[in-house]
Parts: sequence; C-alpha cells; structure tokens
Amino acid sequence: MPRHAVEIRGLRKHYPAFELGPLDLTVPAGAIYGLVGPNGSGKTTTIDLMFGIGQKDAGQITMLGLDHRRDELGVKQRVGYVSPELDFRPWGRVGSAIEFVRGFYPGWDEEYSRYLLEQFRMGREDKISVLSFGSRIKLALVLALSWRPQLLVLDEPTVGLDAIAKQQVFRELLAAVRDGERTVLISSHGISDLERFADHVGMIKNGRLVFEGSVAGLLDRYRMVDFMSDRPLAFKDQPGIVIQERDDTRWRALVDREQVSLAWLQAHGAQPIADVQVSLEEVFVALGRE
Amino acid sequence: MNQRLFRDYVRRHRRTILGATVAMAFFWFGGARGLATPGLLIAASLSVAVATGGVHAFVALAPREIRMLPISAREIWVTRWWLSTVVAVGAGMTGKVVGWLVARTLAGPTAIPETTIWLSSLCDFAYAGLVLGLLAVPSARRGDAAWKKWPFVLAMIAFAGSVLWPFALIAVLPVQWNQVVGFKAAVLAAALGATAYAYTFSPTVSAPGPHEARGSRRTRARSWMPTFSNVTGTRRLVLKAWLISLPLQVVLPLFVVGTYGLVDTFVEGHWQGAAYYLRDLGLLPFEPDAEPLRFIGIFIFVMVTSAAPWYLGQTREPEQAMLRHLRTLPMSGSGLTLVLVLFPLASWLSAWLVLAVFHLAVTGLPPASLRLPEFAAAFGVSTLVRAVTLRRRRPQWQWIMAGVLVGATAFASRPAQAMLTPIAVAVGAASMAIAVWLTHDTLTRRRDAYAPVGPSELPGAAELGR
Repeated sequence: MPRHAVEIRGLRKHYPAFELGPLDLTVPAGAIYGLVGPNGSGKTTTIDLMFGIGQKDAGQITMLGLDHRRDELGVKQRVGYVSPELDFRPWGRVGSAIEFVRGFYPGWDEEYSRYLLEQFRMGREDKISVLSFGSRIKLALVLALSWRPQLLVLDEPTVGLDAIAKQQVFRELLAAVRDGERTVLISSHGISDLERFADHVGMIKNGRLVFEGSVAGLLDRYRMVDFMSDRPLAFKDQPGIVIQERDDTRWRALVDREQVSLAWLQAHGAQPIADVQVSLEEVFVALGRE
Repeated sequence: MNQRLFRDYVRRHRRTILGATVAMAFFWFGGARGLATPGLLIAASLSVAVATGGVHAFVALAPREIRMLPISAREIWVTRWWLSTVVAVGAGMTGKVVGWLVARTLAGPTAIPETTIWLSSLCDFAYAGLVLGLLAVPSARRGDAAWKKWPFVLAMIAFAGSVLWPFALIAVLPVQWNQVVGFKAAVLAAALGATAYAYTFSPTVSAPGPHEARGSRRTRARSWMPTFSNVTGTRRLVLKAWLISLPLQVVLPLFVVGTYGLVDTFVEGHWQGAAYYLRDLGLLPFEPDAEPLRFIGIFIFVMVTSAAPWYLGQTREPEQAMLRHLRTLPMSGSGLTLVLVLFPLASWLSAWLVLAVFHLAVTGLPPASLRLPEFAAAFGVSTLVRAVTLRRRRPQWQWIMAGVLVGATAFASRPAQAMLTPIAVAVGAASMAIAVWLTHDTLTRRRDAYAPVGPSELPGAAELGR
C-alpha cells in the first residue's frame, strides 16, 4: 500500500471568478482526513478534479499511487465517492440503484449492503424520489461502502443530516475503516463533526492550503492568547498572529506557535494574561475570517 | 394579471416564444408552398400553441419560488392564462403571417388562403384555453372516493397528451371557415366557453392531505413486477431505457389510432381500418411508398416515447441527473462517452421492432424495407440532440436543430428516393461522430455539466435562483 492515499501537487484551476491553487495536499494512507474551509474555498473543486469532473490547468493528482487521469479506471475501481449532489432518482427505487451500481464492482458485499440498509432504515423497495435529503445521502453511502473501497471520498456528506443521523453515518464510516487499511477523505464545513472523527485535517481558503497535519498537532500548534498591550502596530499584519478581539489595550489573538512564541510577544511589549488551548472550530473560524 | 410576473416570464422565456414564431413561420411557409396539408398545419399549430402556452407556462410558473412570492394564486393563474392563450397564440400567429407572406412574395399564389391563418389562430386560442382549463379540474376534486378521482385522472391524461391530440384528430379539424358548422362549430364554441371559464377560475390553496407512512408504501411494493436483479451495471441502464420506452411505444400508437378511428368513424360514418389510420399518422414507415417526410414524425415519436417517462416521472434528462455518479463509477471517460451515446439505441431498436410488428399485424405482409438508412440518420441525430442537451443543459433549441436536420434529410431526398441512402447515412454518421466528440469533451472538460438537475431546476427556476 502506498504511504499516501492522496497526493496533490501544484494543482491549479482557473475560473473567471475563482482561482484554485497552486494546491498541495497529502492524505496519509489509513487516515480519516477532514478537508475544511469556508464556503467557496475550493473543497468541492478539488474533489471534482480528483475524479476528472472538469479539467485541471496544471498539477498532479495521485490516488493510491495511481495517476488520476492515466489510471482513471484503476482509481475508480478503488475509490468510492459520496456527495449530496449525486442524484439516483432516475432509478426509481433503492433496489434498482443498488442493482445498477453493484454490477461495476466485483467485490460488492451483498450482506454488508443489506446490513447498511437496515442500519439506515431503508428498504430496497423505497422510492428514491420520496426519500428525505438525509436518506439520499445515506443511500449514496450504502452504494459507496458496500464494495469496501480502499479510499472513500465524501464531499459534504453531513449536509442536511440531523444529529442522530450524523452519528449513525460516522459510526458506519469508522466501522468501515476499522482495519486501518482504508482511508477516508471528508470535505466539510461542519468542523465539530470532524474534530471528533478525523485524525488529520487540512484547511483550504481562497483556493490555497492554509494548514495541514494531524488534528493533535494542529491543536498543539495554535493557542488563543489574551494579553495587554498599548502598542497596536506591533502585532498588526504579523505572520503567526491573528487578532480576534481588541478592547482598548486588551487583546485576544490566535497564535501560531511555529511562527510566534510567547517570548516574542513579551519582547514586543505584550503582557500575557491567559494562554489557552483552542478547538479546531476556533482555529477554523479565526483563520477563515482572517 | 401580475405584470411583473408576466414581463419576467416573457423575458426569461423569450427564446421559447420566439421559437414558436419561427417554427410556425417555417410550417406555414411550407404549407403555403403546398408541402403540407392544411390539416397538418392546423394540427401542428394547435400542438405548438399548447406546448409553448399552457404546458410551458404551467411548468414555468409552478416552482415553489414563484408560489412563495407575495402574489395571490388567482393573480398567478390569470398571468398563466394570458401567457398560455394570448402570448402563445400571438407568437404563433405572427409566425404564420410571416411564413405565408414570404411564400406569397416569393412564389405568388399560395396553396392556402390567408383566412385559414385566422381560423387556425382562433382554434389555437380555444384549444390553449381549453387545455389550461383542464388544470382547474383537480381543484374541483372533493373527497377520496375512487370515482371522484377519475375526473382528475382523465383531465391529467388529457393535459399530458395535449400536444399530441391534434395529430390524432387531424382528419376532422376544420381548415376553412365554411367547415365551421354543426358539430364542429359546437365544439369550437364549447372550447371558447372553456377558455372564458378558465379566465374566471380561481384556484384554491389547500393544505396538503395526510400522507401515508413510508412503511405502508413499502408493503405495497411492486411484487408482481420482475426486478431483473441479475441485470446489473451498464446492462441495467440499457434495460431501464428499454423498459421505459417499450410500453409507451406500444400503447401510444394504439391509443392515438383508437382515438383517431373513433372520431373519424363518428364524423365519416364508417371505420376505415387500422392500416388506414396508422398510415395516415405515418406509423407504417416500412411500406414501399412511405413518404420520407413522415420520418420527422417517427423521430419525434421515438424521442418522446424514450424521454417522456424520464421527464414526467423522475427528472429532466437521466444522463444529466446521473452524470456525477456515472463519472465516479469505474468507467473511463471514453467508456462513459460510448455508454451515454449508445444507450438510447435500445429505445430506437424497440421502436423499429414495434413499428415492424404493427406493419405485419395490419398489412399481413413483412416489411418491404426496414429503412435502415433512415434509422441511421434518425438515431445519429438523436445522439447529437442528447449530446448538445448534455452540454447546454437547455433542451429547446436542440430540438429545433434536430427537426431541421431530420427534416432537411427527408426533404433533400424527396425528389430522388435513390439519394436518401447516402444522405441519411452521411447525416447519421456525421451526427454520431460529433455527438461522441461533444459528449467526451463535456465529460472531461465541462465541470458545469455536473451541476445538480432536479425539480428545483424546472424551466426558469435556475434563473430565479441566480
């Protein structure tokens, strides 16, 4: 098995109103990788380009060691895809959609498919057009999980799901990758969900990667620091410091400890009051707003 | 009438309205030059009037986005009435006048008098209003008794088939004012009355009824229908296309011929035989002297029977709806291109088979020719229509393009039947080659082709959302 399930290098795509990249992204094999970013940051564009939906302008995309264009068939035989934009209604019934999809995958596990349907409280005779939005995503998951792909790419899979359904979906996802040989790439702007389930995370903003790494590493890297200072210009536009709030001489800032240390702050006239650990969501909001 | 809604509709659907004008101009130009019978012109005009009027306005003004605007249901209805009758008929009439005038200017005396234009437009107005009035029937439904649902069901069948009925009644349509007497005059007056009633109608906004629980729907599963669970993958896609089109390809001609025959028997006093009606409707293409122009009808027949159930029951084009999923399945770009281009072949083959069976059944003779060159041309053009639809995501002008291509092929081969084969084969091959290139290019380069398509993207709704 290759070391990295997904490797993206120098990916570029130009649209009249949006520029993706140059983007480098690395998803370690066996990871549950959360790709986060504000709306319109390029998450779906990146995933679409991975599957050949649209043509990249430059760059290289490798999935499970295979080039996504040259070995397109090999990639698709190993990589599952789930998105709320998948539309199965032309198949009429759940069973009919299953019969269609399973023909493409020799490794289709019928028993597992039945199990998943039961878990998601769906029947093969259910009409797809009357399924709720959440149930349609669950159907997409059944179709993607039942052949046990080596890499599962989920584009905003929890959109439209209630809290219970989200738990259910993540429970099945975790069960599916329990053997450690499978990788999950989840794009989402629901950070709190990813915080609980993802072990790696990457953030895209305006088409560029802001950070990437293990969740634990990222939470260790960023701190929320409250400090007193009457020298506002000292911290303005300083790399590694994202000012969150300012009340006269009292400041709150997200500090990237790889770039700025507490000693540096003190050397520039700051008197630290508090230095607390942050959640992934706080990092996301702070960097997304920057 | 809500003028803002009216103006918005006209602005957003100007191509549809203009398309009706252009189509009528071409039709009536041809009719004035003697290339089509007055009955066919009147039927085509009625069909276009309801397609661009009642049916289109119904669909375009149905989305939730419009119903949620601060406009009363009555205002929406009256706006729909004006669009369905006055605008649609006016657009068609303008085209008729232009086509007729051009024909007279270029070639002198015409095969049809100008008075036929006014008669046709009056019929269009009455028919468009009548069809719109059918939509009032569901509102009159009261109670859940089975028999009370029948008016609703019949009205919806009549509405759904409103584009086709004129062609089934082609033999009894009045083509001159002196024919508007007796029974025909009474029918026209009744239709005008229905049009007036449609204007006064005020739809009621009712709360949705309690729906069945999902569980009870499951228990009513289609256990009597085979599920073909051993057919999977792309073969299932082909099976689906075939299962959807075949029943309609069998039932629709029987229904239309039956209706035509009954009306004709009532008017003429005797049944002229199934072969006569099938031939008159152009559904016996395998006879030695079958008119090439009739293949336009066959083309529309196959395209409608293969696409209509998708449209009515599911989404617009199945390829568009499923494209994102199909692209992520283990098929290469080239493989998926071939699947998309070739899977409607099942519908075309079954249509040819059905027509051959009809031929055998009513004439007692095997087909003189299977018309393979025409088949190649029509199927080729149909692949091109689908490829362009996939690319452009707007079906209107692709259909006009298809009509022009198929019509031109049939028309070009008209003076010399011997020319038909090379022209048809060339058109079919060229169309399919372009379709393959276009589909592959769309699949691999056009990300916008993968955007979701669904009920919220009814005609015009996309513009509303932007």
